[in-house]
Amino acid sequence: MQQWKILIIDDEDLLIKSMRLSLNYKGFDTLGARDGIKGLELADSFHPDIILLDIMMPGIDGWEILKRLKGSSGTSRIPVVIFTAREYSNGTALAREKGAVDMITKPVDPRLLASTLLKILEQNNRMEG
Amino acid sequence: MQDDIAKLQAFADNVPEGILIIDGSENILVFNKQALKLLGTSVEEILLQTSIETTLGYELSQAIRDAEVRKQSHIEIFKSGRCLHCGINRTSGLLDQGKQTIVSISDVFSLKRLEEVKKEFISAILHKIRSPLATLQTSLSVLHEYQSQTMTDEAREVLEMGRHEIDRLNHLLNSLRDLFIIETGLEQDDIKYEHFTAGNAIEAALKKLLLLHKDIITRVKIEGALSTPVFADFQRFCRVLELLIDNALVFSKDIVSTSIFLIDDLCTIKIKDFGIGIAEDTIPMLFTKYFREDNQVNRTVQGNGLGLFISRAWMESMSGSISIESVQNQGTTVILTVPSGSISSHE
Repeated sequence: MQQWKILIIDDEDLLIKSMRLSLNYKGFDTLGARDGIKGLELADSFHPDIILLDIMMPGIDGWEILKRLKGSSGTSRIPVVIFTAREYSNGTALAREKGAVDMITKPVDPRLLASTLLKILEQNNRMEG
Repeated sequence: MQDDIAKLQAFADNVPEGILIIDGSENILVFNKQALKLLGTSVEEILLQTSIETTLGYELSQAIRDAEVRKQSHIEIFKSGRCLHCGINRTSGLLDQGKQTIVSISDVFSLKRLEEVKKEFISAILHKIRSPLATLQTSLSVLHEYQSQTMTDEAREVLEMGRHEIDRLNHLLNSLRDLFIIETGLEQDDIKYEHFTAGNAIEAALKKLLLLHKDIITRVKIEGALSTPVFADFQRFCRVLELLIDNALVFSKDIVSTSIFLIDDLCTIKIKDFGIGIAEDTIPMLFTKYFREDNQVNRTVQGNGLGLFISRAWMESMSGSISIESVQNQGTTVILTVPSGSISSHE
């Protein structure tokens, strides 16, 4: 079975740790970045299959990171899922409008997160052919 | 009479708005410090007034003269560089004789700023609570998923208590967020209409409830056309379904039937449980904030009494409706209607 690589960009260190633990148990290969700069570096070097991206972070916020990811040839094709504690009335539409594939509001049940990510990855895999 | 004026003065001194009470001969009987500050006037000026126009200006004086008994009127005026909102009430029962006019004065900018501060404050609090909660939830779920088999019974019980309380806290947080939006009158500002199907919305609601009700797949039966179109705010509609299906699952141990119909451009969803039912005279009160019926389930299940209040506000904000039919000891049906968004009704 293919081992998918997930990059988590979030300024909450403990959340990264717990999510990595949870997703690693599900068989994913994960890495975490606590800020946007580190996140952009890892997106280039780690070549993740999907990125989980927080929005409200000090320094460069998630929307700006998304813009840079989509603007760079090396990372533009990586699907990004917005992972935020802030409630948007129409999160998925907003995320898609900005270039991400979906939005998940924190907190989310880890099983639900893993199944959502798998669905997106498989869909993306089919589209990429 | 002097005693009554003193009592009114004491009342005016204890409210945050500017207050003026004026008698039928246009004498200012009562005024507080805030009124002086907002109107840019002084005690001396008021005591020496020759006419209210001198102190209050033409517009406000005219509005006071035009005020009718038992009818509230409002006026916005510019005075001393401020935009002031003045509420005017003419009454005849305040003092022994004659008619009096009560004017309450607020600074419009301060009110709007206060609203903004309140919004930012609540939004920050919700955000700050959600982040550590997400960490806690993920951590405990990892323990549950991968370590619970090797735990002692006591440790597993403690873990389950923790997970249950986190779910409750999440539920409460969502209700507080909804309540905040409703109470601040923002439900129309924040609405995002879109076309979707009833099936999509029910599926999204069931997914969320899977965390609280592990047996949801076997207990919730869906009938009717899942493809029935809906034109509403998706998240808001899902939230109503989530609250109502959760209620139905809590108040019965049996199957919950969810049926979908399209009647006259309206998507109608009926959520029916076969539980303890609701007393007829209690039904109208169920939509009141914090109301919880005194029954055997409510005595054992913790709740915040906000679900139906929020559901009604959300449905009405989307030009929909909610109603309840119930027979005690037989069950309850909640009926939702929402525009289907067909071309004839929306274009």
